[in-house]
Amino acid sequence: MLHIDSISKTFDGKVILDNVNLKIGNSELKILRGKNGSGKTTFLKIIASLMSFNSGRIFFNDIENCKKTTLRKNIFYLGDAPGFYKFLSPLQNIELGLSLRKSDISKEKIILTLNKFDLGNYINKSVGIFSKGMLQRLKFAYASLLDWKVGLLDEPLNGLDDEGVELFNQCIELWIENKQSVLLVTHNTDYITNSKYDTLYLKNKKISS
Amino acid sequence: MDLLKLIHKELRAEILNKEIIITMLSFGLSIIVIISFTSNLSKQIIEAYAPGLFWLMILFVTVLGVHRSYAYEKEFNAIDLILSAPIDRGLIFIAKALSGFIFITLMQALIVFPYFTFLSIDIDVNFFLLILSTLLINLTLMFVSNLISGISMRARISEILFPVLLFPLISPLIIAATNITNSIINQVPYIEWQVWIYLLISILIVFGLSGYALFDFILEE
Repeated sequence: MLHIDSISKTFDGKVILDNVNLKIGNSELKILRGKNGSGKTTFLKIIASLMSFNSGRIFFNDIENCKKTTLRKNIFYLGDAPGFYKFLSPLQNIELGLSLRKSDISKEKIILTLNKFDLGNYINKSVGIFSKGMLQRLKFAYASLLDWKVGLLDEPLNGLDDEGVELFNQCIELWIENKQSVLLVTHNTDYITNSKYDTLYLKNKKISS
Repeated sequence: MDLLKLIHKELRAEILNKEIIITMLSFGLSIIVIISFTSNLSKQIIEAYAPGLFWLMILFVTVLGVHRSYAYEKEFNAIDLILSAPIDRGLIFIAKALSGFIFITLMQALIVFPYFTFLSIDIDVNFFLLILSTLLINLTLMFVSNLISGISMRARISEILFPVLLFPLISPLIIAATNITNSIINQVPYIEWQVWIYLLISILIVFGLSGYALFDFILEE
């Protein structure tokens, strides 16, 4: 589904990624590990068309040089930062995101999803008052409502309590079942140890298994 | 449709926060009060300088408003919500410029009477022409300042970089705005100041088109 071919990225003359390759098929989850500053977030942002790269190719469904809007529609990036407007409520943030993605999901379904992620009591509160864990749950709720093919999740387990991790695991299972694929960046060793999925390492500017 | 959604988001942000208009209004009113109580100049001199002072004040107010409008995009990295959506990013620029145009026009409507009252300036002018030219100046001002603010947004020192880049680039616009307003107040025939209108329209087209075309690259990290 997604094929990253020889991607290189340089910042101010410093090589961050050097001919990095990666393939992700349908219903696959891959965990990407690496030291702080090794270029994991940069790599995810390049795949999500949020950051430019110096050389290399990105194939989506065997098509090279897909339009950026096509990539952004099918490849969903959930960054480490909240990525929501502080002054808007969870409902308003999700409605804005969905409307820009031309998704006509009803308000009732959004509220049901927010309830599922234990955010039902905060539907009309501003996101600015949310804790880290609540923001993570909100991101999962948003991701669950969207129609994407590849999800790029950057440190989604940060700030989550046990119940939150359980909800996250349920999401992952559901996404894989729905033939969606996930590339997950995490430092959470417990999660990696107990996970049944492949782990990749970003080391010395390259990805190895 | 995407453009309307983005403008709606900008207006909703301002309705909820009330930061941009209040900041612009309080700053503008402070300047008026300071000028009116500290200038010991004759009425003729004040009238001659009034349009220039007005547009200078609007320039400073614009810097505050436009910078705030980009600052809240950086809080929580909220702009990712829009950037990750499959939309034409040029529309983000247009939406920011048009909503900024609404805010600055609203602010001017609230500030123009205190300005002329405090400075004791009698104006007997063609209001239709004055309003029309002011709307054109406001639109151009917003296209230029939003492009520069977008360029400086990712910089670590964006709050310094934005005015440093903006002021030299916007000088021709402020000169044109001052000459247009001065000419309308002094009832100079249009043929003598039409060149400034052409200059404004040229700036509007150049910055509008480049902002729309380049915003995708500007916002890319």
